[in-house]
Amino acid sequence: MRFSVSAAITTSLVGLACGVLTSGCGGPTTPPPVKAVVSAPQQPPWFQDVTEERGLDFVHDPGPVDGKYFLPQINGSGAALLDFDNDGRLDIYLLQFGGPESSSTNALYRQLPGGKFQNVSKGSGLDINGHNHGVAVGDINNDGWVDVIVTQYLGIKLFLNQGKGVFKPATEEAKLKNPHWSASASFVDYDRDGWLDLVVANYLDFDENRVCTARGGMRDYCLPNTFLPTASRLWRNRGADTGGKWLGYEDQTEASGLASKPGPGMGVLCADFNGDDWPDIFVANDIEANHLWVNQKNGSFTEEAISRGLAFDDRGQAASNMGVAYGDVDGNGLSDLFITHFTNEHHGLWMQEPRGSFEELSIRAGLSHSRWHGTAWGATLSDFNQDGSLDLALMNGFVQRRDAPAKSFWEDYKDRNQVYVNDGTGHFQDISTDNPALCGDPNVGRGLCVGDLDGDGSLDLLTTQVGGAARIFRNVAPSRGHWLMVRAVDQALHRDAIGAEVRLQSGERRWQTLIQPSQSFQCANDLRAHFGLGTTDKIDRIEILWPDGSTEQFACPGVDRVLEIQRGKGESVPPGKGEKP
Amino acid sequence: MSTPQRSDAEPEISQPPKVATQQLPPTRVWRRILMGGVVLLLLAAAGFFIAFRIGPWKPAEKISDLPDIPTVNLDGADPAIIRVVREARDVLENNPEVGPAWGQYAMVLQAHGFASAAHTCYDTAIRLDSTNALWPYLQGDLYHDGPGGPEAALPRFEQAASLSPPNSLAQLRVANTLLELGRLEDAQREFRTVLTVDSNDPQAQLGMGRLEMTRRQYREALKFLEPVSEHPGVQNAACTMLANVYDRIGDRALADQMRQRLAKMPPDRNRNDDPALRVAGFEVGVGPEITTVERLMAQKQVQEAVDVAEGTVHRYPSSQEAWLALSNAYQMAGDRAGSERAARKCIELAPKNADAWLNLGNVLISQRRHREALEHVQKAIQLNPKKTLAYYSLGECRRGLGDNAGAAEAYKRAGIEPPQFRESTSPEREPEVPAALQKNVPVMTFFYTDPQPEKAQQVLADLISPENVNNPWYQERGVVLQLMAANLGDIAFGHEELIRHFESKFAAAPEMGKRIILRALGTCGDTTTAQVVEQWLSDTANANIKMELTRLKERLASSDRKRLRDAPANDPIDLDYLWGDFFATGEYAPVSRIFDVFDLPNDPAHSELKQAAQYSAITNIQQHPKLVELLKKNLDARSEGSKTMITEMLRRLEMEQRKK
Repeated sequence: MRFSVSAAITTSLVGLACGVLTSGCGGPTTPPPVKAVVSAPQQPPWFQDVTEERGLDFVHDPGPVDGKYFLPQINGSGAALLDFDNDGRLDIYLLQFGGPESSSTNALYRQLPGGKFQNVSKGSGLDINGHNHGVAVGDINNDGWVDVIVTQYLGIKLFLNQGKGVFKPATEEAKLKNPHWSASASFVDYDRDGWLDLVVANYLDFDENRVCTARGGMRDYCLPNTFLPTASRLWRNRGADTGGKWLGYEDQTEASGLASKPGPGMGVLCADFNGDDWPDIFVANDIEANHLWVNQKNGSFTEEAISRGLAFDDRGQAASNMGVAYGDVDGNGLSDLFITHFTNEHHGLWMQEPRGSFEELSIRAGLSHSRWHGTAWGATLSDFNQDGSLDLALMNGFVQRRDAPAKSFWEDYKDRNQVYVNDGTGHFQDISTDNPALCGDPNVGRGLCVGDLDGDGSLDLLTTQVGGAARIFRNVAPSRGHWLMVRAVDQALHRDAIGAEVRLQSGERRWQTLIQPSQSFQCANDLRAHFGLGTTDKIDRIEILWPDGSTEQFACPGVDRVLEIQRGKGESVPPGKGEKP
Repeated sequence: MSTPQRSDAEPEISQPPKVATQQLPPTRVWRRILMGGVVLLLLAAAGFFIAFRIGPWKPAEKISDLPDIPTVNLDGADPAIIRVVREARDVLENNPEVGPAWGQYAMVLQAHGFASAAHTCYDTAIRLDSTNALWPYLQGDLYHDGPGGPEAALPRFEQAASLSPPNSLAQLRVANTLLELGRLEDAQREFRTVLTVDSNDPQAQLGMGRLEMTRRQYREALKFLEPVSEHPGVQNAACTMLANVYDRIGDRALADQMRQRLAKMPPDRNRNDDPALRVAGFEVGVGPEITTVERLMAQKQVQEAVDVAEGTVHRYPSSQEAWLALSNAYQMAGDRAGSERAARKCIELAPKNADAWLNLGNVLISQRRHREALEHVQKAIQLNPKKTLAYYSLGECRRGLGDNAGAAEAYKRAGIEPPQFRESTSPEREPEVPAALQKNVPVMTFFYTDPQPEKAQQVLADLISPENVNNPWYQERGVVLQLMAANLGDIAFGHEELIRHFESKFAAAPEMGKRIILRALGTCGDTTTAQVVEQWLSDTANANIKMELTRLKERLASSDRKRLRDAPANDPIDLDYLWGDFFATGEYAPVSRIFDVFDLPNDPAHSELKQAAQYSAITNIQQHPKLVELLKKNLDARSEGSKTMITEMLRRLEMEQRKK
């Protein structure tokens, strides 16, 4: 080291004079102009900010800006789209981070028939304060009402939906305990018993006494590798007793194997990654190898991220893996995994092919080539223009201050969001400059939820930011194609079939989507499967792979509608005869 | 912004800047560099000095339209950063028409994260020093890692490449950037350009492999990746890609093999000529230095990490983080004493920092001093009850003390199940280090400083006591008793009274105690001992140790009976016995045998022995002034190999002492 340091510096001195990169001190050249990276809008925008007109007035409280640079603060808070009152309209739940002493509380907004949102937090039981990070939604006691999990810095909260807009705190009753810094959470029925189990991505063993500085030497938020990682946790839903009383959860973190490999988890996605129709658990780790916990069908999991190509980027490096999105971007019948990253990295798209094997092909997908390179958190693969292929939206915001003098504290951390259009082959083009409403004004973006908020069959966005307003962006993409939205319901369980895969067939063309609302970063999305169909106006059949491994086929009465498909009312498909590519 | 305006009245520069480079003897500059401290003023001066001497730059004509020299907000910054930024700025203010001055200020700004200001300076450096590829290269780097990304970086890399040879890093950056932008044909052309000059260039091979993978031409990719899979600069990346390639072509076994290799592989190393390293060289402040230590540790460059960490605590003696980093580096280097010292210093500086207490607790756990560790870990938890991983350490302490139930509870709170925990919860409890050892190892280590026979008698009594010899801790560590016994023999050598004392304790001792006494007498026994051994042999109570007694009898009767110090060391365990001899006697003879190891040939057969000798010597040299004295006194008489090693060790020791 001594030699190399001194040699490098000595070389540097020579380089200053002559340029070590040159073979000699050659002739002058004219510096080329640096290409402008932001161009004027060329296409009609896809999104329109309708926050005010829809009555959403939520502003995130990140807690005090008191010079302590409390690291959990910078990760911000997420949000959920949920139909808590079963009226068929998506409602909104937004989280605050003001801390346990703060008067800022989480907010529940009910969507009224006209599309306006009404703050119904008071008396809902969900209006808690605290260091709230993430949210997951699902009916955990199979009573037909969607329940809510909130992840926190050093905690977790469960609220059981009592109907009529009231939620009951049930954390202790459910035997949930997570004294860790938790980020994203997801429901998954990993043991196929019909009850939603819970996995929480835990992040770091943070120490408030650690003082960190930016490269300029000024105080700033610590980088994640300052602290040791913690293990993600898994709870098994114990179901109900013979009297129908829900029995709560049991911690299976150790028994399942998840405790054996700690990691700085941020994003989590439960899906079948190895093609055996059982749900696995993917945890996106920040600056460490990702973890893929493959379901062994006996309550235990083995970690297989490396062998399935999901641990590292294409150069074998562990990157800043944060938010996750899942979908088939190239139409090969296999879902691919997108993970958001840091400014100086490129966002990762792991393409699946063959089934169970992933390869990071972001360059091929055009994702290393964008209008600008932000630090992204929330993400979604959704077909915004309904041309039949999944597009991409990202929420951006920095975690370390920049050098430009800022007007206010959070100005230093602001960045612009991004949107990409998919050309149908899995190749993306950055169209952020065409979308000034979503991508024009910088924000400290974090959460990104997707769902059909206005019931027009297209996917809208709900965004959250640190210390700023939550915003609703209505999908106004022109010339949208046909669409279909499927709500898969298991009547026996009285709830949406989280974990089901919905497949459509029209001639030779196929689509498939996983019903898994816990994607993006610290967010919960619309529980329904949305399909953009382009010019396809007839679907030959719908096939659903239910979470218990059974498959049914259903006829499709038409497109451009929301279908509620109930389990048991279709034609059963024998095992192995389904449409799995 | 209070950017000073350049005035027309400023004198034009026709001479080198007034920085007294010549006053700094090269050795001093080198020493500063070696110490890891980058003093920008000196470097800047040296840079200009060389620039004016050998560079093509002609600072004669007046240049108009120069931008204002950018200022940056340094409120609250590390004083070292403020100093280097100001110094670079001062140099630039005095030489605003000198390209390298702009470039150097840009590098300093870039090194400390002031990207916008650095861009302004690079723009001007490129304009004024247009033949130097360094500036466009570094600006390209800055663009690449910023919001502009590869699109913004490409023109600068292309400019740098146009000023560089065809196999330069700049050329590679052009190729890689084109690849990132999805311009595969263009990227291939640029990689080929590099490979035409050097067909084995690992970065170009890697780039071509990545390019072919992007095209999904996996068999083509193999041709480029396999040859570089063991190159330390790219092996990680190459093996990751190879694993993917093998998967795609259906060779799962090779893919798994490659991933197994990956799991044990350190990160790829930067090329030494990477200009980014030069920017990093301008980084000052405790943060970057600690980052460097962590990086070196991750790359398993342990000695280098120790060197940098030592320099950091020297420059930032009040930085708890620096001491923490040093403690970690020492720990990784196997210097537990050093690690403990640094950890204690960290606590001294930050008594309320839970991390500091936890770190020391972990150091003590690594030394199996679980009881002491427990106090420190509990203190860490008291200071920060939310500190999850402190509960893991608490579990380790409790497990080490045999409290498996308590350990299980602590591990649960930590949310971690360590792989070894399943074993530890089995009925077999992990025994604690025996009290006799805890008490007497320090006595024996410094016996020569106060060689009282009573101490040796007490040590023997403790060692041969039934509760000590029956301690299960010795079941897999019997050699420790052998070492302690030999140590006692060294102490008693030539001391008749002590020898008789040892013999007198034989009869009542438990069997293992008798063996300890026999091992001691094997070193110090005399003619009387030989007679006593005869009697013991005839006693049926000693039937179980007849073999040991016979061996001792033969040894005492041998005419060429030698002590360990009289023969060369052949095995690392010999070194332990020799150090024990020194601790007992304070004499040079055993020390001399230890350092003889460094005169052995440099071949694999001796590497382990040499390594053990080096680590033990470094540790002991810090703790035993007497050892230093002996080494200095006998230095001239030593052979070249050991002389060089001793000289280096003494020099380092002197440096450290000076720092303190």
